[in-house]
Amino acid sequence: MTIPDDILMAFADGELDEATRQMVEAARRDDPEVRRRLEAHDRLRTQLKSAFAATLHEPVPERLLAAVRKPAVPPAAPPPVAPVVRLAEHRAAKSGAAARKLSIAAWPALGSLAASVLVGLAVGYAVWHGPDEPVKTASDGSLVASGTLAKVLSTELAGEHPAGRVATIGLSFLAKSGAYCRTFSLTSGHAAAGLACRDGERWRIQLLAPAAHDEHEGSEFRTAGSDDSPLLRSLIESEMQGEPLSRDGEAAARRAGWRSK
Amino acid sequence: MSTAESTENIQARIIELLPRLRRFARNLTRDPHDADDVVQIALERALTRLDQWHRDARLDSWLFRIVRNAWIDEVRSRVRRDALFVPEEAGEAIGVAAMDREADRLSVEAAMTRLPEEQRSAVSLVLVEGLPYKEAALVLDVPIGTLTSRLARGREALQAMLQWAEGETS
Repeated sequence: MTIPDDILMAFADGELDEATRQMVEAARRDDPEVRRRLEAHDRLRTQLKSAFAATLHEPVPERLLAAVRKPAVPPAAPPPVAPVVRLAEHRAAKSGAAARKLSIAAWPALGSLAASVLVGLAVGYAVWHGPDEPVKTASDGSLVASGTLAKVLSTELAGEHPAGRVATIGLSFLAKSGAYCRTFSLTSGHAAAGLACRDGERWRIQLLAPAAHDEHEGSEFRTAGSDDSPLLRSLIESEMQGEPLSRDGEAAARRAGWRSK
Repeated sequence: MSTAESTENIQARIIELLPRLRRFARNLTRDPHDADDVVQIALERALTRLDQWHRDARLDSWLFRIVRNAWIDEVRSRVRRDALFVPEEAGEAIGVAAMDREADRLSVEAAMTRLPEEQRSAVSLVLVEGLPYKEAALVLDVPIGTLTSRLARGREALQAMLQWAEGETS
């Protein structure tokens, strides 16, 4: 019996479900080739661990400790520039004030999607009760953002969390179709996340997923690539042209009314 | 476990994580000074965004992710500033193929620096920092399948550079 490399690797990393693990365990007993390959994995891990263990015992520079202890500044404050300048000097930069961007905003939106069930267009999500329906069916049958969600999609930058927020933006990007797309999370009423792309003057919902409770959170991941490949991520990966928009890029797109050239 | 963990508590936990954040950043940037600069930028960002950290998510993964994004931003801004640094700083041009096959056996540290960034971060998160696949995939913002294929390619390249295959004895 031949065991695929990815299974052996997942075994070495402790990422297999019990049944598969036992199968590999049996093969390890019986097959010297499997033993040899597994030993190579273990050796590499041991060598890597010991090579980089020393860093952990170095004293942490005071400036890093200070960066943690410092009382948090309000999110509205501009990002600190001192370290950037230092880096720039370090690399003999020629232009001083190169604009910097932040892109950590995707975490909440995408993180909460792990293990959630994703729902496509066809499903009855269009029926959304409540005073402020975030999603409605347009006259041509397509699913579009409405109410607060539409407003947030058009006006807010990724990572902004206004008080009493109903929806937040994860990340924005230019799709291969040429349209601007944005991921969003709904936080009130129906917890959900999805992807909306600009279509004329409206935001067409490409994907909507209930971001219910992460009941799988904390449980062990079972097999390599088995159940945790959120459709939204693959959709983003396949649709996105280049990189997510920077903050400046988002602001520019917003000024242009989300019309791409 | 309190659901409303105090900021002081979280700050103390972040301080405990600093050695690992520095180590990850070093593997990422391949330069100790850059690494600390990037960690500092990441810490400043993290502390202004503590409200974005989901309390049931792992704090270390969240911080690793901010560190990596800070580094990506830094690489991009260097690319904008000076195209001369692009291939080296982006780290993507340095692959196994570029290596001299007759090169002496490399140290693990040296071999790591030769991996493309995406493999280096996968190897670093899973094999050095010990994150489960799921967490490492979240840090890198890729599907698990992408993470495991980067990890597999990174391992293969490392082993080739370290000459551990049977060929070592021949």
